[in-house]
Amino acid sequence: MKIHKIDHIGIVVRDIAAVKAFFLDFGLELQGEGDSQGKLVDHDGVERDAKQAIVALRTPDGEATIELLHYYTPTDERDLQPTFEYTPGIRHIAFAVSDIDSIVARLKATGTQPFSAIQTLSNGEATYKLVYIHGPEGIILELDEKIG
Amino acid sequence: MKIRKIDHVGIIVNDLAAAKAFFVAFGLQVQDEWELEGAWVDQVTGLQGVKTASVMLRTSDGETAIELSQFYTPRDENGIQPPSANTLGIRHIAFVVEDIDGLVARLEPKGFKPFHAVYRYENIYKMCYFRGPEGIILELAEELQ
Repeated sequence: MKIHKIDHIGIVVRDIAAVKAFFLDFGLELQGEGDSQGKLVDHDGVERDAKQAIVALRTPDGEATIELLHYYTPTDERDLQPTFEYTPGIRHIAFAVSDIDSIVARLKATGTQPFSAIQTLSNGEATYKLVYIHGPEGIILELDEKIG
Repeated sequence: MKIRKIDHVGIIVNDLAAAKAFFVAFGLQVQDEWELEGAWVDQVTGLQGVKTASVMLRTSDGETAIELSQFYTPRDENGIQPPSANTLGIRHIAFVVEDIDGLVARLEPKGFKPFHAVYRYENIYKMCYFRGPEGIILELAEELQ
């Protein structure tokens, strides 16, 4: 009874066109998109009709993908809540990248801010360059480049 | 200049030991465990006085891992806000599993439940949304032959 692999990570967004544009510019590739209808069981345990827009994005080399979901209905009345790196929940997505310096320079040019300057980390086995960045709608992304 | 792959997904938890126990029972394997504090982690997170403990867990065949972290400091005053499937933000992690019915039957007695009965999506998947510890939403899918 194996858990084979992570297939995708689902992100619920308010402005799916804007978040899709961000991730395409970031370097992901469009795998598919469309609308979908089904049922959603809400936090109150009640099943409701749901209508969503879905955008599937893949990395050039990786197997796990990103699924952007925009709910036309039902929407969560809590809307976007301010979150921090230490806020409980699924909190960041870490990408293995090449040429982290150029990626961060390009993101900064379009208004995406890193948390800090790029940091270097050695754990005894390998050395990494690493940075956290503020993606759209409070989404936190981590970029890692193995340099030695 | 390339985004190569997703290395891991970071989950912040209030009770690291309990969340680790869940994911081990779920079927992941512990890859590494560590504690962090000091100038380096403060720099990366843009915070002050960070102290964390983390566990990295991997799937049997996959390249993307799960990183569970508990912040001793700072802590979010709002605590856990259990999300719905449609709550804004990074919301669910979808796993390809073997024997979804057996997995759900094994986890239900421990208090972890699917949102609804396992259903068949065309002839491709058997699947369900599943509520893990601290309100974390997992999607489970078994590929049908």
